[in-house]
Amino acid sequence: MRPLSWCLLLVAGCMDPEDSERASLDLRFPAGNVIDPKGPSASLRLAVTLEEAPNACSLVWSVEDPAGHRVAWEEEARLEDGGTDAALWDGRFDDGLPADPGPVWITATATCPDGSTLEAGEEGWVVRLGLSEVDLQAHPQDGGAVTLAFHKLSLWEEGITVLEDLPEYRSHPEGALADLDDDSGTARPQVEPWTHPDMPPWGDGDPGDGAFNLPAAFVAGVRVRVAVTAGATALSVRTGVPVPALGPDTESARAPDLRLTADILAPIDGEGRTAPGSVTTFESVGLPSTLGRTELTLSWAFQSWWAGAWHDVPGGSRSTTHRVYLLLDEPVLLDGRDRDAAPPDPWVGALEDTVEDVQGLEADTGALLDALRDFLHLDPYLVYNPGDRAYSGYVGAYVYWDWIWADLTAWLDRRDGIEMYCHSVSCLLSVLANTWGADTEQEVLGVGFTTNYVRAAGSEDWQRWGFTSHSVASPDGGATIWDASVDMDGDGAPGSAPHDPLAPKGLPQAEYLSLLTPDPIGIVNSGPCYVF
Amino acid sequence: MSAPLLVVLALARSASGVAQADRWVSTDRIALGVHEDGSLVNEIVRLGLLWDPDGPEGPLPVGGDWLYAGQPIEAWSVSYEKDGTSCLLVQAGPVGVSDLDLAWDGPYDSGAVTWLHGAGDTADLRVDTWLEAPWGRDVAWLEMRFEALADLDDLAVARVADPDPDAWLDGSYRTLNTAGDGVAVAEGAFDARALALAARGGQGGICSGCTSPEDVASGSTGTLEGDWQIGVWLDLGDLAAGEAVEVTFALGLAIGSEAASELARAAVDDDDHDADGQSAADGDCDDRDAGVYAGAIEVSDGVDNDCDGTVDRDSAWTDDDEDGYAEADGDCDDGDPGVHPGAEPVEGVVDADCDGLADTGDWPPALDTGEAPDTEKGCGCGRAGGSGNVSLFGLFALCLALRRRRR
Repeated sequence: MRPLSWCLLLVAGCMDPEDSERASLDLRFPAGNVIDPKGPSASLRLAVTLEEAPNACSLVWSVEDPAGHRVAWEEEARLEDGGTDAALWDGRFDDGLPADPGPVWITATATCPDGSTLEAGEEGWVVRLGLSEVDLQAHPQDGGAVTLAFHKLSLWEEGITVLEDLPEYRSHPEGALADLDDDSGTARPQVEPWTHPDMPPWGDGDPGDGAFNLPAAFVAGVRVRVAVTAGATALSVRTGVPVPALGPDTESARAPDLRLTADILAPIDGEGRTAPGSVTTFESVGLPSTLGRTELTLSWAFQSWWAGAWHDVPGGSRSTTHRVYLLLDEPVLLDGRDRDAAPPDPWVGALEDTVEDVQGLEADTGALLDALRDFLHLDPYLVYNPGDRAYSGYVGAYVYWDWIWADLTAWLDRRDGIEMYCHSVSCLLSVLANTWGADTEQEVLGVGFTTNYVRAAGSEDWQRWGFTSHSVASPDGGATIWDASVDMDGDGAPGSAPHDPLAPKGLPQAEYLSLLTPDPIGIVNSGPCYVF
Repeated sequence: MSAPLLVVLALARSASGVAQADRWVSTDRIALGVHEDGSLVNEIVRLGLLWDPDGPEGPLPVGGDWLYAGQPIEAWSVSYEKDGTSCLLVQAGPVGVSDLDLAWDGPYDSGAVTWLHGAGDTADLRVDTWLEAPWGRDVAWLEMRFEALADLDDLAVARVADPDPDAWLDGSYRTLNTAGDGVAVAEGAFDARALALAARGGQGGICSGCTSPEDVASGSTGTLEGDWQIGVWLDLGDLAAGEAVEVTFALGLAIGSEAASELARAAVDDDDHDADGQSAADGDCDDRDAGVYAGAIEVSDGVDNDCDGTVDRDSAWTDDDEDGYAEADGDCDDGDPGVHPGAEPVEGVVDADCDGLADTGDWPPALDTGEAPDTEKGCGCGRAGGSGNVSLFGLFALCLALRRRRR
């Protein structure tokens, strides 16, 4: 029950009746009465005005909590009649420790030359604010959210981890005493984006082992929904006891009303009102429409309702940065789990391996395939060798295989050698394209032919080869062709010197075949590649 | 994004898989391996080192630019005299040339440091060796402890490493070796990736096929081109039976031999391996675990986090004062059995029941009405306004008015 004395905001003490009859002290919170003492730039603004006082009075501020912790300070300047004293409280008591969540009572005491005193008091509220989880989700109208995977459990230990049921951002390990503070009571820091391309932050452990900030992937240009869970539990620095973010009496009618705002996001319903532990969902404008990787930085501000307006809570600002890959479309990788191959989820390592070449491209299949073809063809670790089957394998008869795979793990490590034949190159090109969302197949050409002059990847020499078959990649069943294994002679006479290098990127099939060989060949096998 | 399931799928392929018997330590930057099947690098090398020179944020943050040290990382030799006879103990890996059958345990990973431990003994020496790699740094420590089981004279130890790693680059790698006081370093010609080996008080040397401290000591200290091994040796003096000596070698990996040397030198002098701000001399009772140091928060993990000699005592999950409550249960003073949720008021304790409220007194505190300095003026406390009295009605009205203002 609230005692009557709560309502006492002004008491004239022992003053000369004539002087004190009209004197008053008015205490205000110019920007709300809520503070998070462990947040950045935490200072609660206080103001008090002395009115109708015959003389200037000295002023003492004090703040105390229900458990008796207290801080007080005297202002240097005396407060004149009609004057206002503005003060800041950093949310800490005289032991230097931050106040625990809950109410505090703030008092201004003016002592005047005649010995009279005036006091004014108001209730402030200490809170602990923060983001417990941030989940980047598909917009129901736009879709386009892509589940990513890591392909290793440690620097060199293979194992696929699909990031399916996790939010991108979590501030704390599972089972922690508090999601807002660590076990010493220190505010948990912003979790920086995880940048390792191969393995998840928890390695071969469990996602609950610690905090994380995982990469996400979306189709370029789509809108994103961001579901944010506000932190619920703080930890008292004094006692080590977990405390609700708004204090022990969270249900109190006096507990502050809060909302969460974000600079480039809009809450999908209402004003973004939030409470500790609750989820608030926001909506983004469209992500960048170009392909590649972006860092999405979100500036969050908790606000409290006070005197008819929303005010930023001192110490209530937060920032999160999210690494987002922007794909051409949803990936079209094969699900190889029944073949002990990988599930159909893009690998962060494959995206990261190619992102510099893809960065900033318009969302266009041809442009993407051009970039990936050049990425492979010009890779310093790749030398085309028709006899080396590194980085791929097949089941069934050669050329007419039942299925074929790209050894993407070995490619990302580049440790099986630097020479590879055309089927490996085309499979990798197909897989990388499918990873970025361009539905691309491997096309096998043959059978038995002699090439015109071509220049192999990793070589400066123009040669003619006798091939059983050759492989390329195509997004349209072979109508247009990309070939990362060789450059072709584009001078109109591919069967003789001199040679004018032509990168086979998006060539119509007939044109490509005429440049490749004088012999009559066609597509004899095709399909996407599984991923190991 | 949310969806129903987290899938962790270990690929069944075994081409570069890890056999159950393998042991390794691996961070985001470096891996040191002790592999029974040689899977880390190739069929010849049983022990090895992997390093990503750019780290995870580099322009080629994938394995394509890894360095593979091709020679056993656990390669060292010890010489001494016993009863006037010269003795040599050579260790080049658990399945390579070895005079010592090291038994390995681990890997261990504290989140700050990962490590392996090997131990073995002969009639003269007990040897403990640790391979340590810290997360987020391009260094590794090769720590050794020698305990004499007999009186030994002129004990010397040397470690070697072969920086000729890149068989996969088809012989395009060569080494440029330099050596100096306490450090030996090799730099690749391909892209200047370099491996340095250092020891405090040691001497660096370049040699080929060096299998003893004397080989290393007599090796070149200049610059050589070609496939040479780097080594560092130390003179440890005499050891009486029962005495022990500890030695720390450090590896530094960087682009450029100078940078690698600086890293290795700094690592040798680094006595805070877990980067928790304390060395063993400062009271850190486990310098491989950043969560363990004098004054750390004790957590319930079976470890003496705060180095007070007790395990898990004072953690938030343990009921230290045996009043039925730990801090996690809301006990706001777990050293006082009279203080816990639901406790009766205790004299001298402000909040014995841990409800966040002082057990005596009102909240909020009553405003101090002060005392009149001169009572002869006839003023009485509580007087305000023209009438000289504050009516209850007036206070109530003021209360309502201000209550409305607050929201």
